[in-house]
Amino acid sequence: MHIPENYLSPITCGVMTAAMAPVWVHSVKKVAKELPKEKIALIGVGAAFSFVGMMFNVPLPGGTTGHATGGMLIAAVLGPEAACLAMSAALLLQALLFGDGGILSFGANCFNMAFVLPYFGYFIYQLILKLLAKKREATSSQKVIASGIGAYAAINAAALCAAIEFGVQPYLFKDAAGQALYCPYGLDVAIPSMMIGHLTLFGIAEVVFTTAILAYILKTAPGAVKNETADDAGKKKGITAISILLAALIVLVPLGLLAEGTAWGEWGTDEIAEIETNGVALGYTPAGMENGFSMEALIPDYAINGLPDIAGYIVSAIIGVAVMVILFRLAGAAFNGKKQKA
Amino acid sequence: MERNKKLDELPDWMLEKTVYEPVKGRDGFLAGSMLRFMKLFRHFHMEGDSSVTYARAGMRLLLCLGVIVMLALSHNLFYSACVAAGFLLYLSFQRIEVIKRVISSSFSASLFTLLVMLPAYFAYGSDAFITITIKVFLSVGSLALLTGITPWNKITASLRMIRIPNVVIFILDMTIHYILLLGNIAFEMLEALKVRSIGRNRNKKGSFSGILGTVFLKATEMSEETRQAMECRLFNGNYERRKETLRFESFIPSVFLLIYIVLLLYLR
Repeated sequence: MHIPENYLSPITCGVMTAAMAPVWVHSVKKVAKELPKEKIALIGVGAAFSFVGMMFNVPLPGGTTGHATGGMLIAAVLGPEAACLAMSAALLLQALLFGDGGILSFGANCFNMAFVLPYFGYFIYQLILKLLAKKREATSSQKVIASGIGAYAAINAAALCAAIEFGVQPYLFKDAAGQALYCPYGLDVAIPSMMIGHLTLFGIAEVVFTTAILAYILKTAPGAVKNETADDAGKKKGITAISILLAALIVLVPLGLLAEGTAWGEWGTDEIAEIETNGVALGYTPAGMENGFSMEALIPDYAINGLPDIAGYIVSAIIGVAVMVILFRLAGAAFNGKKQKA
Repeated sequence: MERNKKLDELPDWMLEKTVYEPVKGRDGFLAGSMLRFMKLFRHFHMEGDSSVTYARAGMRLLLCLGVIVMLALSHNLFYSACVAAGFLLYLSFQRIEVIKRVISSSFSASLFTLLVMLPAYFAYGSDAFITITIKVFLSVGSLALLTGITPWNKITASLRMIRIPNVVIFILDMTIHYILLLGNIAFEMLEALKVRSIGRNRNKKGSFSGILGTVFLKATEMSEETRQAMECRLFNGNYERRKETLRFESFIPSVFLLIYIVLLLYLR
């Protein structure tokens, strides 16, 4: 679900980061207020834990394995605010270390996996606990069941948000020729292709990950799990405020994107026309293919700016030389490695 | 005599030579997880050039972020080519480990992008598979290059210079340290399990929750210890800004950043 660089337009990334800012502020404030000192150290360690957890191949029924985010688990154990901060730190390091998810799209990734996932999951978790426990203290098995359902709902809600962010790109950001500048797949393609994987494989991986570890922690050290009964009244208020915020953000952020889109070039009607023509054009793709591969179409400003031809040659020469040097050095290292082994 | 007779009467099954060949176990879960940890450790243990000044590390970070933003803003392939030229040229002078790491991470990211974007070409005749693949290659590559040649503590310290709050830096710092500590614990447990389990058994997969559960409990314990240690050393999570003498070489990355900004504006 990690959205890489350049799949979303910079404007979308900006909007998503702006939407994330109040959530971060809320989480930092809440964490600082509730459990001042040890919590901050715990968040760093929690982030490290979710990072380490994501490394694991979660065994799934049928012999396959999958990966989980662990956001719901941390939300259930430490609370959604701590989970939000921990997931954000883990996502930032993943982007920096492995190129999993982009730096520009960091806000969007955090919105999906550090906000929607833990907050929505925790909301469902609390809701089901309330239904199951009926004013009594929830038992361990009830907590495990609630966390499992919460994890499944949360990962799918997060995936749906990611799919919508992908899906709105081709409607909003196009070049003069009507071609998508960023992710070219519309909502009709993005939503099913994201959701199929998450409703099945990744959803189950998340459920297995959350329930298995939570059950273990509840069995061996029940004191480590955040106790909701102590501050029930405060929590209730918190949950309603959070659910309103969540609902508002989920509705407003895509709307904000659409509003941004119409202001962008005021090609509301053209847009629809183009989408229609694209739909019809599916019948005779060869024309599109011809345009597709001509490099001049990709460099529209090349001639307009009157860049001398030599600039192109120089740049390609530098690229060529650098690629050759890198290839030779890699080949040399591989050869030396073999020699040493022998 | 009596004794020997008794020995001869050993039951047949005892006299048979034992041939024990355990059923080949399926340890894809163990091996897969361990392999990922090894990769993770390799990322962390690769030390950057420690002589880099804090200012230069900060400038590198700025250049890297700037290039990523400008790549996303530019719709011109020639601009991407210019960035590629600078990036590849700089990369070709690096140590072989850095080259390997940068190429492997950026290549796999761009290959994934190519596979995702290619159907759009046939469906809508979209060029995204060329432009986005190139941009992903360059963005992921420059980040990998940054983390490959700059030590971690210098990068986090440089974040302080651009006025990122103390709490954020503290959390990041803690995370980086504890990924290694917790990763080592998890890895050791996986290794112990792999060594002890022979043949096919169900316990291997079941152990997954035990390993991560224990890691989690250790993590909470360690965070409490850290808090106590911080208190003992009068460290409240606030970082002082470092003072160092300014050197010309610290500003080399910013020169490149300026060149790329001018080029972006010129090519618009």
